[in-house]
Amino acid sequence: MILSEELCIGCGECVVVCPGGAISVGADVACIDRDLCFECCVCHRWDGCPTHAFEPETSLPWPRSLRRLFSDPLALFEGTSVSGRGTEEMKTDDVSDRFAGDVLGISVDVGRPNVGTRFDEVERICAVLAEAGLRFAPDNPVTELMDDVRRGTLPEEIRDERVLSAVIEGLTDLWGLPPVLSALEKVAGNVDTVFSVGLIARTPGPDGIERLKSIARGARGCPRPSAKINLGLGKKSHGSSDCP
Amino acid sequence: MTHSLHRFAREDIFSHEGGEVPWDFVVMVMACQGQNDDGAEGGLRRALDILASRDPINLSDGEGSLFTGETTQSLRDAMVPTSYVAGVYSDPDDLSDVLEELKAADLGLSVVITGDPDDLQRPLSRVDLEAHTVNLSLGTHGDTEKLPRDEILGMALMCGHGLVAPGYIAAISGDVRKGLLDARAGAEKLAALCTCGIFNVAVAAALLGRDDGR
Repeated sequence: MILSEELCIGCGECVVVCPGGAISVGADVACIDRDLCFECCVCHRWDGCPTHAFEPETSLPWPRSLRRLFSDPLALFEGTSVSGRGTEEMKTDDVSDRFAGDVLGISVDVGRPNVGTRFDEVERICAVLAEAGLRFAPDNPVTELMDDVRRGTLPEEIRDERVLSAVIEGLTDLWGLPPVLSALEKVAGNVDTVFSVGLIARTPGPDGIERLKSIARGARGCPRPSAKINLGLGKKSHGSSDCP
Repeated sequence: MTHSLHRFAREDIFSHEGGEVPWDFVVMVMACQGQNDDGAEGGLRRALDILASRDPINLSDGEGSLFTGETTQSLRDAMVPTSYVAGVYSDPDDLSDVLEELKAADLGLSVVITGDPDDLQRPLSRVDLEAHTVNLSLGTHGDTEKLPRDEILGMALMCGHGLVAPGYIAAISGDVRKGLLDARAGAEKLAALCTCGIFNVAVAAALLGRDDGR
């Protein structure tokens, strides 16, 4: 992100708007700490800057470009063409069959909520998940960055890049779930950020959610009163709507 | 892409005094890339019309919302096969009506709802729909000392991508306490930063109205 020193009047209104805490006000004008900046573009889109002094860099060099890809939901990840930082996961499972059979999905949103993370923390979590037997989802942006998917390692040159969040997605089954959740419990005390965990399963029927809660509790997971539910209305070939 | 999953449920913030918090439901409609997205924009527009017809708290196409300067018509005009349509509701009957219409429209697109499973039970059974696949939140872990206090976090979580900074929420909350802004106007300022448009302005206004800053 570029802040125009010519335009900035140093009012400081933008300081609290920055999710990364990267903006401060010096003697006359604001400045951006490039190390803290997520390149999320919130300061640019916010309508409160009286002089519109923020302008995103049109082309960020590698690996800094990862900051925008993982922090600005309007940036598209080329590998998946999905805006945001993960796959469609269970949202289209009724069409994709991603979670057919006994497959269980795990999503670990590293840095979320509102803390952010660097890729060295992401790698630390990936490594313990790999050791616990999690199979990383193939079309997920974090997986695509890995230089060794079996070990969950990331390229050294990206490890210091700071992003708002990075979603690790993986697949396991009923027997593989306890070691995966146990690994997350252990690594939780060893990271300098937060991570939010989701458990995915195809559990049709009126008692589907209760069954998934039981699966989670059986693996020492602690379900929260929040769930995302695919209602199974999707079809491989949708009826073409004549809606203009 | 799990940005709606980890929102606070009403019970998370009920334990504090200060009045009831509205319900919070998100409905998303989308095509599956490479499977049924070819020509999906027509169905997505129909879904948007259905969501718009039932007093949504917020409405979006994944890239803009009613609070980022879009209108229902501009969202409609911008629809492409890779868009997703999202509506936010605070009334279980509105949610039921939306789901009933989506079911009847038989668009062949995936429909996903987010909320407290206990709160979702009645609206779902009313329209004879049930879960196909479930994503259950197992909570936030790690260095949770870094998280803001619950009232602020409850609002921040409604932009699942984390674009509404806790510091900004605290500043807006301060303005509301001082009488410089009413709670609704404050909530709309926060929603303006949530590009994916699933920020629940009704819940945020309720939380701003009772936040004493502690």
